[in-house]
Amino acid sequence: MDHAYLEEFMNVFEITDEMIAKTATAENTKNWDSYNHLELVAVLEKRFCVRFTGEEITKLKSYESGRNILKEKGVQFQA
Amino acid sequence: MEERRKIWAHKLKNRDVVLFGAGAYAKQFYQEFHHVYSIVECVTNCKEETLFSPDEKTKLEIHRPDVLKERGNIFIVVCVRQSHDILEQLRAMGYRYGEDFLESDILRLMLSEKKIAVFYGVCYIRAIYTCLMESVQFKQEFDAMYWLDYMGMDAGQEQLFFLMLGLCDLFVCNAFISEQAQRRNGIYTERLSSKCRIISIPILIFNGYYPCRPGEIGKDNPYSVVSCTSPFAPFITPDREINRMLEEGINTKEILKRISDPGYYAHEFVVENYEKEMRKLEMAEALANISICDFLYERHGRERTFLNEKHISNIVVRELAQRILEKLEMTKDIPESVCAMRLLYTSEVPVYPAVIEALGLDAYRGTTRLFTFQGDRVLSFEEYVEVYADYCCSMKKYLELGFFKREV
Repeated sequence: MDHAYLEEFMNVFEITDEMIAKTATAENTKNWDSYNHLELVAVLEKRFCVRFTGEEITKLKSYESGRNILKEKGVQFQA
Repeated sequence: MEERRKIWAHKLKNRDVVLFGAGAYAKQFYQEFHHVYSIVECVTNCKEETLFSPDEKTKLEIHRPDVLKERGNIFIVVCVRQSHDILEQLRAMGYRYGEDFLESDILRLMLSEKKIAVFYGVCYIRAIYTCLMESVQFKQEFDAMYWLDYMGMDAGQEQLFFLMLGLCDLFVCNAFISEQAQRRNGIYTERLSSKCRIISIPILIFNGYYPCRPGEIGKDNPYSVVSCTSPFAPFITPDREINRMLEEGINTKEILKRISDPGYYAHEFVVENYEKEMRKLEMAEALANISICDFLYERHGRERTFLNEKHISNIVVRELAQRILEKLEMTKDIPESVCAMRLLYTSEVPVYPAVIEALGLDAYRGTTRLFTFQGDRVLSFEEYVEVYADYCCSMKKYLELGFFKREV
């Protein structure tokens, strides 16, 4: 699922470099505003058939934290 | 409340008050305060004006601002609609914002016997503020003012804003989601007193009727140029499909033919996009104090709930304001007539026939109201596309020639 998550993440924030995407945070990503934040959650919910809670939406602050939230929801990622 | 009034009344005590401006704002301020403070004269930058008559008996001389240098202990009240340039002028003359001069509407708030409500956020927060000022009960209890969040403040304005936050009893703001915006809001909310009530309104960007690619959401039209005298402009909300086709060199007639096609977007795509966008609104409202999705679902298709992707319509603004009244345990008494007011300075953007058909948006058929500085123009879909394409082509050319500079 790593690839699917990376693809959605890069698509929403218009990032073309995988390494940049994997180290992306709300602070260092130019397009990370409130609208794209919600867009990311919405596309992840659809892609992985999960539902984010309000707390999880606010906890999503980086590529890594998004991956962790999905993992907690049972989405399988490579170790 | 009483302490705030004392501080500001003390600032004006034993000082001559000079009004900067001689129009309706100055007249209103004079009529409210001349019996309390010593309003001695008016100054304006307008050479034609010589006499200020706020009532039948009073005639004050109007001078040019350079006479202020000759005056002693004065407090200047800026009584104009657009105060930015005058505030700069007074600063350049050595006067201190909040100590020697202030805008009339802010000073009125500082001297008010009512509670203070501060509305802070994007333009529809101002529209909600305008609606609430039409509520009898709200107006009886609160004096209020609105601060636009994205225009930036200079140090003096921010200092006063911080002061007002510490004094206000109600703070109405957007419930931002991004960390950056949350942090900015946090800087302000931490200055609120413990007794201040916060009411947050969800972010209401909605591309359910205007499908676009991720990354394009919320961005302004690259071909729309805002003049230096106004933050508004026609076509500031882009039609990305038309923009793309114009860049490919497709002519207006062909563009119109393509986007008028009821099959321009696949039915499933439109429905999926709408559902995703509504889910985003549900998430946004889960992080706010006021909900609105039930109203949007209920009115969907029957009434225009969005003017464009970034702006809700007046009926939604009114409903949000009514829900704030409900939260404050006040009567929901905002008259329906507010819906006929200009609450937001923006244009309607037409919805493509393919979207209207797929989502059953009957309210979006027919004409579109386009904002212009000479009043709204009502256009058919075809007329809108023609005027929009013509504007974008011209502005693209002029921007390339360097006739206009886009703000970055």
